[in-house]
Amino acid sequence: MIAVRKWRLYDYWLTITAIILAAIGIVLIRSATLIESDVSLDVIKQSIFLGMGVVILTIAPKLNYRWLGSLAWIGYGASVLMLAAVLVAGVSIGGSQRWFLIGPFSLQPSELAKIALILVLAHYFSAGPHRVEDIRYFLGSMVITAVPAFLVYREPDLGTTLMYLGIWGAMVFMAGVPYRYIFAVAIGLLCAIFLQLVRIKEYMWERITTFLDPMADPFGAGYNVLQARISVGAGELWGRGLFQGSQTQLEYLRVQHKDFVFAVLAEELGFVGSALVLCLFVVLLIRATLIATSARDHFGQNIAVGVTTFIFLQTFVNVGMIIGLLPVTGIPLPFMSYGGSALLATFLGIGLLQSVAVHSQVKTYAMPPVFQVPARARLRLLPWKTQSAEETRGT
Amino acid sequence: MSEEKRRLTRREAIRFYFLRIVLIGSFLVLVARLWYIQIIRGPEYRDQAENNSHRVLSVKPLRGVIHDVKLQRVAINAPRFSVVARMIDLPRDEIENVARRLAALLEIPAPTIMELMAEGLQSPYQPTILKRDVPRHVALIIEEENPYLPGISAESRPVREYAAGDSIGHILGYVGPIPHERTEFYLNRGYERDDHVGLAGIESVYETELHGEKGQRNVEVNAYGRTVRVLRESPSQPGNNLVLGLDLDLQEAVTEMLQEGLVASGAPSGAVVAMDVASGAVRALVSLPGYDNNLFARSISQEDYQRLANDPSRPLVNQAIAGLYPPASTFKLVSLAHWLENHNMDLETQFFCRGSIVLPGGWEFGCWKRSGHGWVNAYEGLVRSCDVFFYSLVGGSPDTDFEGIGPEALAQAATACGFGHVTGIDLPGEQDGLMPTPERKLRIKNEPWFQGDSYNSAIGQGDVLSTPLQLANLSAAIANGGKLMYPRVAADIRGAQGEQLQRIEPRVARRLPYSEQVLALIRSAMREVVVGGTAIRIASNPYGIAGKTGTAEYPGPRDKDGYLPTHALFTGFAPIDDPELAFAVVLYGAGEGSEFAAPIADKMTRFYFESKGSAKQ
Repeated sequence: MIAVRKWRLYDYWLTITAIILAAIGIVLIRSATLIESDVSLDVIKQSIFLGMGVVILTIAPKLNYRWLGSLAWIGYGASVLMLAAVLVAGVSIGGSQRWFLIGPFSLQPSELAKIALILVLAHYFSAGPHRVEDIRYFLGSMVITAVPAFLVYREPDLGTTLMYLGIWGAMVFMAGVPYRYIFAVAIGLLCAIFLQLVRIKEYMWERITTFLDPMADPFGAGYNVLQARISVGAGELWGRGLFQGSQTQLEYLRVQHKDFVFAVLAEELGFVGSALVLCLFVVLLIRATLIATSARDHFGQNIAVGVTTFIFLQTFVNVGMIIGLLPVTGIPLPFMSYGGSALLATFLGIGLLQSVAVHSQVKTYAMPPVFQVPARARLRLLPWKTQSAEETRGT
Repeated sequence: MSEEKRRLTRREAIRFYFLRIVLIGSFLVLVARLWYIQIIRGPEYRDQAENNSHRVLSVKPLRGVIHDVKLQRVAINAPRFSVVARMIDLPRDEIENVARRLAALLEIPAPTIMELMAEGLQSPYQPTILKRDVPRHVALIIEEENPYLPGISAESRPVREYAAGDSIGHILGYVGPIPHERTEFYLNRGYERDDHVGLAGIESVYETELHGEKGQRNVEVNAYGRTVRVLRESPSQPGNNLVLGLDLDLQEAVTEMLQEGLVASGAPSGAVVAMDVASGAVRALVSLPGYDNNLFARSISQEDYQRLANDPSRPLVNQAIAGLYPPASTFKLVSLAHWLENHNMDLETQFFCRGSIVLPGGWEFGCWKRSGHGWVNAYEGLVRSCDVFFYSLVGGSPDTDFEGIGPEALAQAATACGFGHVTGIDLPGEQDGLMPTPERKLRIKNEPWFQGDSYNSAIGQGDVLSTPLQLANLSAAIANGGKLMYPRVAADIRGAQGEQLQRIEPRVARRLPYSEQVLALIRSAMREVVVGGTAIRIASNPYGIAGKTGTAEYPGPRDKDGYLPTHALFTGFAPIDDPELAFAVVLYGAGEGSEFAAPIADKMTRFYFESKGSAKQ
């Protein structure tokens, strides 16, 4: 009886778009590794992780996210330990020490730590808006975020560091922090950036300067940016055909199945394909915000906000980077970029959303399920209607 | 259980409203940007993508092959691997890594490689040669390591290879990279920076014939510069083949003979020219010491080049066309011909040789035969090479009132015989020599002309200078009835399939102003030189050899008897009845012409006619 109710509240749109995106990702990874061999090891690995993701989405609704309240701190502690450990014992690839090697797989703790951070912040602010207005709580949340952010920054991984800060900012904002705090943080950030610019690492400088003018140094640092933009542009309306993109297949596009997978998509499937994928992201994210607004408590709402902003920020930064709106920061595209830890973290996030969705209503057996009006059936984009909708649902 | 339903506050609702607006707005921005890049600027970027992967490669033409007169190949193209970099495919931040990796493979220091690459950046689409003549296994390793060596490839490029490099190097010359100062010139003619061009000898003179037309190949390449697909190809046109009048066998044999002669006489250098009497075709042209032009074809090392350039015997100079020697007694042919032509075949006039002439003022001009020749006429003068006779003939005799033909007439005659200007052979670097006149002496040295100057000129000493080629060419003209030919090394231009394209016709440069009667008399005198004159040493030669010896004094350390050092000369032709081969032999500082130069001519004519006879059978 309860099981039936839970599956009815399960957000199939969310699950289906997530799986479609991951599946498209696998096809693109195949395209990007076509020249390497008949069977791509990366495709197999990614498929295994997608399988694990599907398992997570199946189990998640059976678990009540509220149990995670106190577990969140344990997860957070474990994440911080792992991030510290990877600085000591991780493997270094391309000058950045981010991974543990486990057999044929590599584990990237900074990806899983995102989920831990979201959970712990969600729990920290779960008591309600009045806590956020307390400056000590606000500063406490800063410390909670700063510890893993600093560790990741030391790997170094500027993109993920910024991502942590972005998730924190969005969650604090959505939790109702007073604007004066936001203003103060903004000022502080500007000062920090200014100080940091003086002693910023050279590769970061290069990325910033080449973002501004990729043509200035076409064979040097601007190469990846320029080739990505050429790839995207060459796709035109319909694309050059799957497995047919010259930029991808002839390897002008570098790190193509990782951070630049969207460029493969844009080249081979064109504007139509990439716009469709972006639409899928919009559907998925809007569903996620609806789960946030229908959550039964602040903890659930905060979790949903955290996962939404995590997916949204990464998508925007990654695609923005490829089409030349933002500097190259090395952020993977959620669902689609090759990377087991990232895919797993993303599906954990979707699993959390499903758990929040399924447990959004506690007392529903007062009425037969037939008369239940599913909360998510009404797309309420206008805030003044929200109130009345809530009232309707309450009756 | 109570119904615990949380409501969104108004402020929360506004924040979520804001969140969704931001979300949708951001994606609209992304889609708009995609539209701009893919739709509005799409065609432009697609062009760039095609530019990335579509490359137009030039297909180098094969250089024409050079054959000798018997169609033996003397210059061919041998396949060799070169390692090249196309800088367009080599990302800047990888240059150092790639250079380090290559350094071990190519055995060149990494900084040198990086310098070459930096030069290559000027024309990034064209290959920059990092190393030529790489062993095959290294080429294979480079192809295998392609993913770690973006833009680097091992290309099979033909390298010029010469048969018998040491003996033929001076004639063929060599090919090499375009010299810096000529870059503009060649680029304007459709060459590419990495092309090889003829830099000396026949390779340089017939560059336009030999080079061929480059072809084009449109290919698709991957990011590492490796060709994935050939889209279109227009083949190159190989250069024309060249057939020389030169006889490689003779050339090699003569080289050996001259080498032996140098060893026997202790002379540091020497030259031999042999040419066809009728056509002016050069059959052999040897200059020793020589150099192996294969060294240049494989890009000579600095060390080897310095060794050649600083060698005091000047192996890089072709002595046969650029070595200047006093013609000495061989020059007597000129005054003799002039005398006979202008004095109605006068054999009556005689002068008495008592071993020297003493001019007023006590200047003594000796004959080579100190005991004297007695009464000598023009014919005997040549046969016995009597200096006193020719002193008198040109400068007048103090014993009689004979005034001599005078230096101006002699200079005119010499010029008519080809002295003092180039023969026009198809080789670069020919020297013109020198024929002194009173006017010139006054102009250059600001000194008057003395009778002694006339005496010196009469026997081809003093300021008279000529090349071995000029001597051979004069002998040929005497033998062929008075035609001074343009000497020709090349005989035929043929297509790649061997079809005849152009015959290099024999051309007459000028006619000797002497009647056949005069020339016939000179020919018989030259024959007499061998049979009963100064070159009697080679009288046993069965091929009717005729010639004139010369022993040229030059300023240098005197020997124990007080004589100046001498070059040994011999020029002539064979056979006397139907002349075919004309020649000149010069050995630097060897001594007597009859002792050292004539025997080489003897051996050479024997070899020439014997191998010809056996070929006929």
